[in-house]
Amino acid sequence: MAEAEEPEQGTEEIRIGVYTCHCGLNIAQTVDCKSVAEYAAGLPNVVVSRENMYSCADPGQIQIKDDIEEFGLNRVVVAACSVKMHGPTFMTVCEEAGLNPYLFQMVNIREHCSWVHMQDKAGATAKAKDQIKMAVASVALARPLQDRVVPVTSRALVIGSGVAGLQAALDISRSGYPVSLVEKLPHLGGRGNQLNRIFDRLERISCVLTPLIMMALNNPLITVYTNTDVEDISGYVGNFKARLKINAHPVGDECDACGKCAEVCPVEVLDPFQMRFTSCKAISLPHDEALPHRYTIDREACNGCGACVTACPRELIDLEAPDSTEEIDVGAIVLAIGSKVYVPGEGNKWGYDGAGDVFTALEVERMLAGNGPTGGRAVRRSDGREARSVAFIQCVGSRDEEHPWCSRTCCMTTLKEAVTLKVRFPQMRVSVYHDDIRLYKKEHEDFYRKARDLGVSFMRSKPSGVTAEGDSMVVRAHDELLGEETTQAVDMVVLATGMERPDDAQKFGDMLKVPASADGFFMEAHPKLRPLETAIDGVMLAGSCQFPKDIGDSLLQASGAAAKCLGLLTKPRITLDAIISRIDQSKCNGCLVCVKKCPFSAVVTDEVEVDGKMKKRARVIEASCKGCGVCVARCKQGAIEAQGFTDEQILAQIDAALEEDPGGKILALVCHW
Amino acid sequence: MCTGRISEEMITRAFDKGAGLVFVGGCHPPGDCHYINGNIQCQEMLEKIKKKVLPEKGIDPERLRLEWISSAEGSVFQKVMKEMAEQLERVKT
Repeated sequence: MAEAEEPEQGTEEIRIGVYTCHCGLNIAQTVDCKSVAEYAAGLPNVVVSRENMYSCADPGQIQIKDDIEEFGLNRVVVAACSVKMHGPTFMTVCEEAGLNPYLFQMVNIREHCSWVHMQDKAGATAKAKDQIKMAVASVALARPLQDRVVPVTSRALVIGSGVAGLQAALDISRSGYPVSLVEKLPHLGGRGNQLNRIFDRLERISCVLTPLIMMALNNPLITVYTNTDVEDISGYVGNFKARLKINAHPVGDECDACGKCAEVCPVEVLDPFQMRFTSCKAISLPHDEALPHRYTIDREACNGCGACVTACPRELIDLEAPDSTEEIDVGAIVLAIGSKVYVPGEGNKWGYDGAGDVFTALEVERMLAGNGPTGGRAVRRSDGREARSVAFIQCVGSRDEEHPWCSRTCCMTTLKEAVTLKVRFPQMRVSVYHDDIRLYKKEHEDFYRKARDLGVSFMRSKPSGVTAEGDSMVVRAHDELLGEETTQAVDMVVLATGMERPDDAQKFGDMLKVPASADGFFMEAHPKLRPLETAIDGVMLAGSCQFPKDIGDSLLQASGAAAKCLGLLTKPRITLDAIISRIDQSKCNGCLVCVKKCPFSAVVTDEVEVDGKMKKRARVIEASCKGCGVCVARCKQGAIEAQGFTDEQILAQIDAALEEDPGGKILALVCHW
Repeated sequence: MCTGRISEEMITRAFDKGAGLVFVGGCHPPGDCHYINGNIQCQEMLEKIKKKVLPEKGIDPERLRLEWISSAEGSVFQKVMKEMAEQLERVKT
């Protein structure tokens, strides 16, 4: 970075260059850029004002650099897109030309102006002029600042051990960096465990999941925490601190799954792994491939009788085992907490109640599995009879008012289950009610063809209702191609249920401040440029917590998220921006309201000698400060400065904005997070 | 920088300069604030300004509006701005 040589206040001649970008037609078709640039040329301290077709492109950048040298510019204003988009680009340009990057200011005349005022060219042009006037007034008061350099903790935290979390943890460890992998359930693998075969090659889920889990469990660089909740995460990129609550495993690690405990357990519960088709004991192994391969206790169901304790031949069960807490330091975080399968609520039009002959796709998944409750047969819940006809209904909990998104996996899941049924039971009548069939991967279309060749019938129609009539389930629908109402009686109805945001999304969103989009799924920092990262530096996304994804896409993204983590972990130090608070202790009177109000406990108290007496004075811990400016607004002494957003700069902006026609304007003061 | 950065002086300066309306926008309390509770601290200060500072200056407190709008709520922002634009027309006349 360019050395921050600060000339004495007031002696420096301010020389500002203003660059108004057309952004092709994005800005120029609404804002009269020529008139804006001419206006900017007449503002105080502006020595050069230019228009560019694309300021961010090479010619635009070179122009700024040349002007800094030729005109001796010591401040630069670029009026273009969002500072979140190209702020770093132009800061680098300034730095390369020897100008401190904090002497640059960006004006957003695209998102904040041309895109929202397309119908009002004159108004947009006037607003762009005001925006530039505000920036010119503010940048004149800017002072050179130095980025902070902080060390990086070279360990990653991966939250969630589904396919995405496992792959991310493995990829990070393969580069030689340690990972803490946290799973809230007693076993690894997440939702995938419940699947039977997975599209599009119909391999068994365990052919994908078991190797991933075994590699994670056997990897000395991966510390696996099962039955563990992430209670809190604090800190910042490169330097997070996570508090883990490790819920006790009443069954010791050395359990060899002999099953003697379950034999004597008197408590029966409906088995959640088998989608409540069958029951299991309160102490159980969720399924025969569960990893780590040990029994676990459903603590809510357990009556504490202790029969299992005495039955265990290896004396491994301790019902009083205490929970524990552990704090870990990590430099990067992968959020891989998955999604929730939609379950239709009470009074739904598909007649699903969890008891009758309407099933969810996941329930059928268990039925079709070799280790499932029915030995691979499609069996009715009502009378235990094998189904001879099955109707699938698409877009249940997707593409409706409450869930406007496509869940992306349900079409292929239905095709997979329909094909499996037709192959196993060729006489079975299988039909699919659909809106669109959405297949987007290279082998998916072949699957669709295969389903049709096997005799699965597809009907473009959204059912209006499903009712139990006599021995059958009756599906009523409007066939869009025939243009008529249809009625079909089947033995079994399967709902292609979609994905919703996971229950823990709120908790982690609040904890990490990772924003969610309107659908509740976590939002990426930028859909094209930064799809793997969140707006919070150092926090990446993998899997369906971002939006519905299949296993292949989840694995793909997890490797990408791992690469993003490695981009941090491989550096011993990283730089953080200089937008923080600074306290002038000579002005501080020791009231310490800043210490009390700082949301991050980043302001501490020093004992300082003043006139021979020890006095309390506040000080900001630079690495901990996030630059919110709460302390600045609270300090009555004017002793605290928000670097980059000083009182003088903001007041100068307000004055500039309201110089002309103030009564006709709305002044907005908004969070600049 | 958070809405918690906004000082009383900034609001009063805007009205002293004759601003028609002043809008303050931040993230939804309690959990959305990226600075933990800066939004709440801003709200506390604005309430004081609305109750005491503006009436003392003879300024209608309704000319200052605070709204929590997340980055995913473009339509909410649009709705608030439309309402304020209509309000501005009334204030001007």
